[in-house]
Amino acid sequence: MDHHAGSRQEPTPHDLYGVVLHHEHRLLRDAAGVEDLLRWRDRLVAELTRAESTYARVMSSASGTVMPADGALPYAVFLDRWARIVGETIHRLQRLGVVASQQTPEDLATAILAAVQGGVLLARVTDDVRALQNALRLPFEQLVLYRSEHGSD
Amino acid sequence: MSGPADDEPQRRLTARGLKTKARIVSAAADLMQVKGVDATTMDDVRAASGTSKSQIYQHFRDKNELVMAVIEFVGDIVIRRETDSLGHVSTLNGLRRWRDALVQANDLRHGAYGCAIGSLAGDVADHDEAARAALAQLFRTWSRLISGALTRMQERGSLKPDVDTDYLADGLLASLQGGYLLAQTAGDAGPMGRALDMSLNYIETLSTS
Repeated sequence: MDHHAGSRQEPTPHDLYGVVLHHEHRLLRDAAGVEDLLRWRDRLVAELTRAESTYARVMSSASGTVMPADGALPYAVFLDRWARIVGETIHRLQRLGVVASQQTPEDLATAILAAVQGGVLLARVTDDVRALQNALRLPFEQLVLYRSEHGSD
Repeated sequence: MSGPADDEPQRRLTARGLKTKARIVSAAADLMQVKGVDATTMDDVRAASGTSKSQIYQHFRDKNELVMAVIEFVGDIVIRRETDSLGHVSTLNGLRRWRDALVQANDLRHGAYGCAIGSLAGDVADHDEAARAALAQLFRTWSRLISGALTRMQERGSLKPDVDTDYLADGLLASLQGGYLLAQTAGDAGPMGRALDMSLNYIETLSTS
């Protein structure tokens, strides 16, 4: 996850986004059930709270007031692609009947990414990783709750 | 945020001095929300507030002290607004109205600038311990206001009694802050509205009806 730590050249934001998206794709492509999603969530929390990780560097660079003019569009594209990876995974699991299908995959992906962004911000400010853990519990409980209510899996 | 020693100059200020100080803080708050804390210089604040360099340094020893005053100023506005909005909420519909007001206000700015407190937090949390602590306190107060609304829903019997309202409030606040950031990036309040709707839909599943 720290591919650039020893490299001579400082990675560009574009490089960092690519690393995160590659990992997200790899981690989620084989997800087959809720347990896999929960493992992905826990790994996400671990990466986001490790200061030197690529994930943390990406989120930290994007949480300030103003995105540099040349950084706003790539970051928006990065978030869009990340949301698509998450949404496609949820859609696939919904079709398999192993997660709730009451909410659209797009809305669930938006809720998860909002929880990531808001949770990272609150965890940094309160200096307490539980803010991020609690933030992410909310969208994930929706997936599990509906599923258990409807007797799937 | 300030001790007795810091209050000393404040007591000596004339009404005019207080007005000048307020003008400086207000201009700094606007600039920091639009340009960011790092990009806002004392010179920018001087120009925007129509004050002189000596007036600024009469009230603030350095930029850090000004940032702390901005946090106090912005925090006061946001917490007063949130107290008004959430202080009497005791139903899910009340929470949805709270959501609508925030999303509509953000929509008017096409998602730009984000949350006044959240933006400051993103800018200073990693390198200014006093500012971080002050902002953390503001977020705790905000979360308690949300938790208070959820607790009143429990007291009315509309929310299950075993629901942990503190955890739920933290989650809702994170969803709001993340929604602001998504809206800011997209230049559109839509993602903020959807993120909050998802959280409120989840809270609805915890209702007793």
